[in-house]
Amino acid sequence: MGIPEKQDHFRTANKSRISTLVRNILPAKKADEIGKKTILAVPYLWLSVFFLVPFFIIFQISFTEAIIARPPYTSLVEIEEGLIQIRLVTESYLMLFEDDIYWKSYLNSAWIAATSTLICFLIGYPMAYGIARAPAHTRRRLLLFIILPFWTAFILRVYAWVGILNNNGILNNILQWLGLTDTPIQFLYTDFAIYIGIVYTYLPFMILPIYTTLEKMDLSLMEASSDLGGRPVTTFMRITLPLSVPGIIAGSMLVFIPALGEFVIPALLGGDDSLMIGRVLFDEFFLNRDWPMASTVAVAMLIFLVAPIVLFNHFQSKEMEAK
Amino acid sequence: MAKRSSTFVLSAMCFGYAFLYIPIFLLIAYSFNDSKLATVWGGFSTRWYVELFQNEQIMAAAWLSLKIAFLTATFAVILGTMAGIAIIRYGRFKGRMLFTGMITAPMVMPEVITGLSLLLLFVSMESLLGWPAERGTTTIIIAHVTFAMAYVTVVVQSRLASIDQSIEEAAMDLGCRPLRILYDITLPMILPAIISGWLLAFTLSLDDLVIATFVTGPGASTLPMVIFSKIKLGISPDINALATIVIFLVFTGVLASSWINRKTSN
Amino acid sequence: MNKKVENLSASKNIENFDKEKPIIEFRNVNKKFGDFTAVNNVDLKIYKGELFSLLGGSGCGKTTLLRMLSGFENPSSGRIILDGVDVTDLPPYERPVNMMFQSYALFPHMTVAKNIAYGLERDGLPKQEIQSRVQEMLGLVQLEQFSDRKPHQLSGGQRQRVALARALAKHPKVLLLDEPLGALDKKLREETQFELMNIQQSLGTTFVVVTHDQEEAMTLSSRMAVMNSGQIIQKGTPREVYEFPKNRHIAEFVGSINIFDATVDKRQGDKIFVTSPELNSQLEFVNAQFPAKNGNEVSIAIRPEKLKIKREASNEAGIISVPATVKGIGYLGNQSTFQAELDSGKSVKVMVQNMRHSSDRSINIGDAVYISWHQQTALLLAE
Repeated sequence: MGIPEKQDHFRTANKSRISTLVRNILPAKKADEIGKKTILAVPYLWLSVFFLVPFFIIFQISFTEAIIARPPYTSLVEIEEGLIQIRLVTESYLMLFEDDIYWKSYLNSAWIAATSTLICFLIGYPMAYGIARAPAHTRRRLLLFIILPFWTAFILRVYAWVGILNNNGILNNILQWLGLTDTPIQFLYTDFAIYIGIVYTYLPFMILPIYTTLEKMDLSLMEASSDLGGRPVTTFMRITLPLSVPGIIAGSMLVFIPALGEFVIPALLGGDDSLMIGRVLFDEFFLNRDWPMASTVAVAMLIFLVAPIVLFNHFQSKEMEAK
Repeated sequence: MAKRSSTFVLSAMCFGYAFLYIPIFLLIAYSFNDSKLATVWGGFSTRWYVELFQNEQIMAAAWLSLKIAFLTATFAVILGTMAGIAIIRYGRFKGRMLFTGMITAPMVMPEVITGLSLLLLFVSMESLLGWPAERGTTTIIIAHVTFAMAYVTVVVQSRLASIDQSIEEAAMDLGCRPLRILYDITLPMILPAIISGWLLAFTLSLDDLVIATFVTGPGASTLPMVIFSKIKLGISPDINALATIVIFLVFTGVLASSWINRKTSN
Repeated sequence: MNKKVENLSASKNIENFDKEKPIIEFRNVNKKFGDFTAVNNVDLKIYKGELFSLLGGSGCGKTTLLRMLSGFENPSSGRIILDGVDVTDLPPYERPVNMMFQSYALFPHMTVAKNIAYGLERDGLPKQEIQSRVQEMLGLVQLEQFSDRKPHQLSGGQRQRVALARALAKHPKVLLLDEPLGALDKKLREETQFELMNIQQSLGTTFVVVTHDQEEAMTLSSRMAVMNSGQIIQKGTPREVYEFPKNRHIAEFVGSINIFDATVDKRQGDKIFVTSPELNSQLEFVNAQFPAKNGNEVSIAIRPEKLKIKREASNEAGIISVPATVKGIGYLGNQSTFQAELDSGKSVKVMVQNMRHSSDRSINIGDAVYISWHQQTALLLAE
């Protein structure tokens, strides 16, 4: 209501130019400002609600008690006789230490994830090296064939190993045909199968970051080493390997972190006795319907993962700065 | 010495590629095996393909998964692109640390935790707000968008970072408004990243088993869930057929897109 | 200045070097990359203590030649002799030459001191000696206080000096420098040029420099070789190459020069008479060996600083004057360049040293002038 008045005032008092300025530029500028804010606000809000808040909920529920109800846990905050009462139940956390299934599966997961990471490194590094040093056109093709399996369904690739590692699967068939064994060897439903599954699934994640560091490495550094008297092995150990450490760390984290919490691979390839923490959490939730315990396991798992995740982020941001 | 090391690298590569591809080839081979047993070659047959297409449970799950993946990819691209632009072009803003942290964390978060936390959120929301009244397709899409958008953001972000900002400044200098610049200059330039981000989000959604298992409700079973329960019961040859179809689609898709990429970049 | 080619013998300029024993010898060296010939039949001797430059545009083969010397490329045919030893088949790490890379190739994860020590460690020298040698090198390039820095904490000029120190630490028989000053800005480049020459003179090490910058080659080198499409076109002291370029390509590549088309009219004894329609005059040259017959197309080349620009024609003996119009004047402080157009329409560049109260300054754009030069300063070049 006040705006036309103001415009009139401007028109009569001064030039129409100013009013045009006011009319056109100010609202447009406001629109720009709103547009700019929206671009940030929408994803920010989304992530806050669907990523950040859930963690507080997990944390909260980990301090409650399982009951048979809907939802199957006690409430943390209760209003009793007009007073707000907070009931912290630390039973789940005590269980974590008392029942050895939890810490055993933590250790076992960490061990399996670390070993798989090492195997991925041992296979992946020479592959990444070979790809990075291949001629440019071959390089693109080789890289494509590393990425390709990633696009095919993960569960189907794990399933392929069920057929191979089976008691009457192709591997046992070959071993028997070679005469190396008379009776089938139990491969499936063992930790061995878990290793294979993890390495198979996550190998590309080890290769790609190592490849990236090797590919952008200045080749004249290797030449300089060679020129100064470094033999190929020395050059590799003193120059190439130390300079690919960022890639190795990034690759190791990309393998180790998901492998630690892996559920599908131990569920499909591992035995009933092979304990991995992701599977324990899953079973705690779906089989025992103990939501507080599942939340506690998740909180503990997060604490366990903080160090590698922070390390990973640190190196990633350092990489970004270097660019 | 150099010879010996290159022989080592070469054999490592042969081993590595064989390791990656032999299981895939075996899957394809078995899908045409008439016998139900993996060990016996019962002759060439396409009966598992026929059985697959007659399996209504699998077909329904596949349709549901495709629907979820399509919607997930679309929403994830919108949110991820916005986030990417904000991170690269906005410089310092309040809460930037938290924002970038929330972008990268979903990528390294174990699926079981993401799944559990989202389910607990949905349950709490239901009791507080009455929404979502029942879990299923919608909750799966929300969960998938949340972790897929992180990947889209990273792809868009790296593309944006490599684009000369002076192009946008030139547009501004020529009198273009910020939002116009976004539509006229920025988005067309990052289009390749948006497309690959969409495909990535689509694949991630199609692939996910764990998160969907947590946040789904009765009646909404995605394809990976159905496959998982079938595999739990042992070998089922129609899964071989399904795998072969997936592999075929993915390989032709990826090879074609890389071919097109090379053609257009040349 | 105005001597004939025959009077200037190459030996005069390198008499300090032991001509009997070249430290580097390329014998019929060829290098092919697929169908592409990078180095074509190069025969070259470089003597001990020289600062030798390989000059040429990009893709001329100079870098390939250097990389064959350091061992990163193997010649397709021919031999490379280093101090009497055939090193053609030796890997880089067994050759007593060191290279200063264009990108410097400093190891980013090592400190300055570690970088310099790297080559010495490979030789298995005792720790004490490595330390003292590193100190000596740091002193040589004046970087003592930077020994614990990492390369990314140094300026461009400092990195360049670390690269030099690292390459010199092993006391190589020959130091190879690939575009040593290429990454530095102009002012720093000039300072560094002289520093490099001082170091070379004080150590007496043979330096082989690859450069595309003719000024750099001229300033630095005792001798240079100009390369084009894999071949050495001309070698000699900088003065020889500048004053007596072998052909039009070198004349144009080394320094700036005015080139005029001409035709040979007749030959009389060791005299050659040519006519240039562009200069609108007939000129006389003395050169018995010049390989041209009557009617052949040739070029006349005159350096801009050998030309004079005056308001009047000169009638001194041996001076040739042609009328021209001034089209542009560029004032460069110590000198001025004039762009003048001859009656034939041909454009000529004249460079004049600016003396105090120089009368040349009175010449303005549009003035009718005469361009003149001494007959002997003009060069006759076969096409």
